[in-house]
Amino acid sequence: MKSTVLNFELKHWVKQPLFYFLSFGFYAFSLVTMLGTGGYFDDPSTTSELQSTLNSPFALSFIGFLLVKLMLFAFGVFGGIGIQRDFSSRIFGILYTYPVRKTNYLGGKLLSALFPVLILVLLTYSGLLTGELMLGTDSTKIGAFDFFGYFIGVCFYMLPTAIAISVFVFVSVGITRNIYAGFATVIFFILFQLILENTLFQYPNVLALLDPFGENAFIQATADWSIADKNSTMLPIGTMAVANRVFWLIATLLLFGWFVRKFNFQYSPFSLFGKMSFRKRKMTRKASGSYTVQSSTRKTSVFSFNSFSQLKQLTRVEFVSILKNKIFILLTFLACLLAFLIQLKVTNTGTFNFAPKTRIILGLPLSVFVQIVVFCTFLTSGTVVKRARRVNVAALEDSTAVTSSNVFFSKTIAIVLTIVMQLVIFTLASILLQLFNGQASVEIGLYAIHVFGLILPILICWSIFSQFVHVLIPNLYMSLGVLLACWLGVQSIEHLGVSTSVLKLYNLPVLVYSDLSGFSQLGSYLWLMLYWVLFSVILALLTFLLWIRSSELSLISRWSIFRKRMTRARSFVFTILVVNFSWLGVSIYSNERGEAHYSNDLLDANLAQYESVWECYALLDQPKISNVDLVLDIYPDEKRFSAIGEYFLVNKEQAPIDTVFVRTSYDELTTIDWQGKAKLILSDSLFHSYLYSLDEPLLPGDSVSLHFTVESNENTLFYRNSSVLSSGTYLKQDFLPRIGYQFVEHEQEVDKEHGHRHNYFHRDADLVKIRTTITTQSNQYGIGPGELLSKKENGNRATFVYETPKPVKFNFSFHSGDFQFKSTKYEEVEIQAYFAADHGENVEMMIDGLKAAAEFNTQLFGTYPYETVRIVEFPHTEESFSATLTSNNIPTSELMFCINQKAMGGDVQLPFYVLAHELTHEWFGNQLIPADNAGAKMLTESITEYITLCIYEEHFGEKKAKEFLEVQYERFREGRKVEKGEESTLADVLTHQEYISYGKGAIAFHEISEAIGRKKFNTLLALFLKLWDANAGKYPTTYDFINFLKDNSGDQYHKLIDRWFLEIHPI
Amino acid sequence: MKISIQNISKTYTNGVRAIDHLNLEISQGMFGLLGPNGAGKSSLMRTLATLQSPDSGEVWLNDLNILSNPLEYRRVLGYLPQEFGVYPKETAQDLLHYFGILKGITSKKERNAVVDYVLDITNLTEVRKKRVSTFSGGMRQRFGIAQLLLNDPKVIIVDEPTAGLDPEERSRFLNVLRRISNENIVLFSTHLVEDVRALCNDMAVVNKGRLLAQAPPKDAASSLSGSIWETTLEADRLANLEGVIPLSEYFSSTGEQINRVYAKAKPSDHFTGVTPKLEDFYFLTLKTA
Repeated sequence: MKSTVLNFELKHWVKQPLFYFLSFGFYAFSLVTMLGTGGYFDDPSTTSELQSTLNSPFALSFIGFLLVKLMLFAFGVFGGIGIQRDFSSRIFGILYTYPVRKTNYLGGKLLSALFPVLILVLLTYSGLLTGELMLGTDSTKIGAFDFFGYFIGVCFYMLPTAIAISVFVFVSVGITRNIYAGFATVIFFILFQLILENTLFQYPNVLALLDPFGENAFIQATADWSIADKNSTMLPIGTMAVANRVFWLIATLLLFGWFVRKFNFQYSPFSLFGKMSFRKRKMTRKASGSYTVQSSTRKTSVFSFNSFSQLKQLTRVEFVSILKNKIFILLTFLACLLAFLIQLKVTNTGTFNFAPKTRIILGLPLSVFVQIVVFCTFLTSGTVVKRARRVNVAALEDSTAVTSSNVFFSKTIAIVLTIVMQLVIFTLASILLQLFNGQASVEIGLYAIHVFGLILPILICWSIFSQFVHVLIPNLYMSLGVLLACWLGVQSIEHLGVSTSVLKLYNLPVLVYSDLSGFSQLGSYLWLMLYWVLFSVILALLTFLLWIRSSELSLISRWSIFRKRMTRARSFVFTILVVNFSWLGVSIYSNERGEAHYSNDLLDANLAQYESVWECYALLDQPKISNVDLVLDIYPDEKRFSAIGEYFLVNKEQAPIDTVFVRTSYDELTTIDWQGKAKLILSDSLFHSYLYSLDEPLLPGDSVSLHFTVESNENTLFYRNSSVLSSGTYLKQDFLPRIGYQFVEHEQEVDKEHGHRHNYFHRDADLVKIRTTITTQSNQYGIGPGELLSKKENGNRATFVYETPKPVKFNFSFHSGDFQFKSTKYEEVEIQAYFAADHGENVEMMIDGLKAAAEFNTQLFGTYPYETVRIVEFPHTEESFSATLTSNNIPTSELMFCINQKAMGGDVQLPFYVLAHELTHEWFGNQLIPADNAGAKMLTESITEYITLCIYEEHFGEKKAKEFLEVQYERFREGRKVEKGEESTLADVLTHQEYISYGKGAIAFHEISEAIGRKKFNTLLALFLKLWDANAGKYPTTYDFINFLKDNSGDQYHKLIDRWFLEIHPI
Repeated sequence: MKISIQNISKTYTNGVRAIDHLNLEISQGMFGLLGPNGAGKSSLMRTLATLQSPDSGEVWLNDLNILSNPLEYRRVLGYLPQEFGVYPKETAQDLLHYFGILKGITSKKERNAVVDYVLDITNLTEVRKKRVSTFSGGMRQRFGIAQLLLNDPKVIIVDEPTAGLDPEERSRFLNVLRRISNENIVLFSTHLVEDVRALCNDMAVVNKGRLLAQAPPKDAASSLSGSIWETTLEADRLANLEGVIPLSEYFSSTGEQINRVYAKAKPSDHFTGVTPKLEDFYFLTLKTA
């Protein structure tokens, strides 16, 4: 009997276009994914970095985890439809009277549900295999074919997951007799995993065991794998992965066993609560009582009709019907729960804790919430559009005198209202959460603008698109499949080489908000929003014209009805909309492509030619910048700046210089003026390179002045060409002209002839003096390098004059913002903090960090050379780093001001640590500047990290310092895992290898200092600093330091020193 | 008030010709549409309910072309299809309010009155707060009538409404229809001749989408007066008799098979003249079409 049921169901599947649609869809998707990731659609390129291969057991399992999420919807269909169609077709009334054993019936149904799932899984991996074969072993991303890679991906990870979820879907549909329960089940699985990840991250074994996809068990099993390991034939299976698979296998079997036991061939669905079903039966009997014809008379026959009132009332009915939907309630609840958990996770990263600022809540938590709302909208719009036909009420409704427009708009408005309601719930819950966490200032206005002004319109667009698809395709599964394919396809469209926003359905730039400068990319967001809104209006009109109000569902009939409804007036409106939409699309497309002032692609394409002409000038002796005089006018309202400046260039070489190589910024418009002392002999406007011949050669020790002007470019729709913000402008020295050829690699070995004549940071400048006049709006404060000499206001402009009291490294920052201000003194040094309103919570801790660093370093390495040190906040949108030291300014990221140190309790005090670290760079980084060699960061970051650790220990005690050191160990271990090149020794650490320079460096210096003795070691550091003072134009290499240390510590430490600095060894 | 169906045809995309150049006049009162299964009754009903458009032809309600003015026509239309569903979790009262809104009764006060009236007339007042999905077949059909009556329709179309009802429910259901047919057009399709005989003042027989006959039931039966005979002769022998058209058969209380036939004159002594019934007209029409 089981085989009869199975055969019958299988025959059904092979006749279903949906089966072929999904099978082909997933095969094609996995194929395109493999090809796209493997660079099949890209131009050929070469790289020396170690590439991750795509066909290793690790990669194939990893890709499987991504694909299985996309396949969940298919599991929802296949898992539930077999048993559901017996209910929907009402054949169960007959079938259940047959002498069939329920094990045979349910077994046959389940096996038939698993058949298409198996086919889908196999086809998906076949797509990957085809991709592998098409890419071929010539591709750097394809290794040798490994059967076990596919075997593990299919049999150990994807198929068991697919079977487990399909069984859960099967049971949920079997219990409820509602196919939507199947979709709710797959959504539940996604959310369940997310909830586990956000709640159990501190219990990795429990997380690995419970994760229904086995993904966290996989991550745990491969956590320590390097890229080479991931490319090897090692199988990504660990103990917890096996336990996870067994756990879910048992859970699946138990669930199915329970279902078989509870299932009965009954007309009524079986209830988990027996008493309730009894009560229902009683009610039904009572309801079928006696019947007599009444003699009442009609009270009214002429109705007062109001079309708007009808629309309102119908909307209410539709809205209430959605609200009563348990799946909607469940999804909304889970969306809120997930948003809450993600908010907890992003504000508590394990090491650091951020305050739940509005902009944080409106970041990832809102983004995840919105994704679930979009999915929820697919379901609700499907329910609303198709429910009359699904329960066979359509004939009654369609024959009433209600206008199709009222039916259409009532459903549309009801869906929009549910979206609004979900967003209101999110907003209120978030505000309550903020208040609960002691956030005094809840930015209601920001919520209103972001959630309801910028997100809601796009969600409405999704709802219209969703309605359109549901109306166009009467089959619910097919329409949901198309919607999901569009939704997920948008994320993958770039794999096909499509980068333009006009083809990425409802995909807008990510909104990033800074408390200082507001939204970034708002202009492009609004234009794209308008574009998609227009598209949705067109879709709404088409949806209305395609609206089914007939018993005829054939394409021919619907096309005929569509043509009848497309009146002349509607055609006119439709044409106007399409023309406007197209015009907007074309202008956005041309904006995207044409308005960048430079393009990396263009530069890359012309690099070889440029180098062939200009590389010969790399060896030219060039003068160095010694003095800078700059007038910088910042216009925050207009988002632009202009600058006039003068350099004094000094010939520090032994021979005369007659040719000067000048480079100007790519982003700005620069003019160079030698005031008649030089002629332009060669130029390249693409690479902004200019070669000047001096009228009179510059003799050794002589100087010449170079005048320049710099203007920021205007911002365009999609490109921000100017770094000026409405508040919190942070300009670096990048906009200034530079001297010499730019593509010079750091010297790998010390140039014996020239010694250490270039520093690591700037080949065209040793230490320089700079005087800056900054003008800005009078309601903003201008900040530049050095001490403030004067400040005055003239109308709506304010002028600030700064000068460095001594020559400094050519690293400058210029700021303008509407800042709050706090000031305190340490000895003779004034510590100032400039920060955004409501960002003052951590300022005291930052100041403490500066004081502690000043005290520690002053005692060991000499006095702080400025009268002032400034902490200046910059928007987190501008730079990814936490803080940096530029002369006596420490530009500090907005993120540092939002760390919730109170909530972190005794954990590492990041604001203290970061500021102490940066100020320490005044000695190791500014006073001691490494030579232009590999390993330079050991002399800046490693030493600074070590000193910061000492400061931390002095301030917070040994226990806290050990915790801090543990963070460095972790940093090193994690960094090694993702190293794509070769791991360097500390002495030769490369610029990007921060896990070595910071992580390993801190540990190395700590270990050596512990061996030698902390006091002695620190004294040696002080001596080395004195020996290599940058003021004397001397730049050491790491080997200078290592030799110095060996010479002054003792033979017994040489092995230890070599081990830490010159060897690669795992910690 | 009358509906005039003029030469309408409808062929579905699968090639089935459901309505074939059909002409029909339907006047006030109960109009029965008789025909076997698949005769095209439901297709005609759906067309008259504006749920599908004919490929050709016109349909008029007095001076109103209902195909080009469906909305206006729907204001006076009440339709009960052969099969209909309900929203599973809605009570009778809530659903009637919903249909009331769809039918344009936007004043809540008026709608309350109308819903109470239709619940009353269909005797569903007691169960108004129960879910319709839990109703028995008869109650559900009464609910169908209740929703139909909400807009005080002038044209009522009911498609095989008594199918599946027990005799008591059926009788009472038909009484409701009879009561509401006084001033309206009630188009009532069935394959039960008895229902038409008991209710309708006019009727039509259709098969294969074509109109085979139209006549008041009484006239239809009496038109066969002197032409209907009963005999115990076996069916195969009847087939050889010229001018005899077998219509139906039944078994007498003694277990004898009696054949009922049409013949213009008494075929032989084995035949006994009987009073014609509407059923005879129906079968004769189908067999002679």
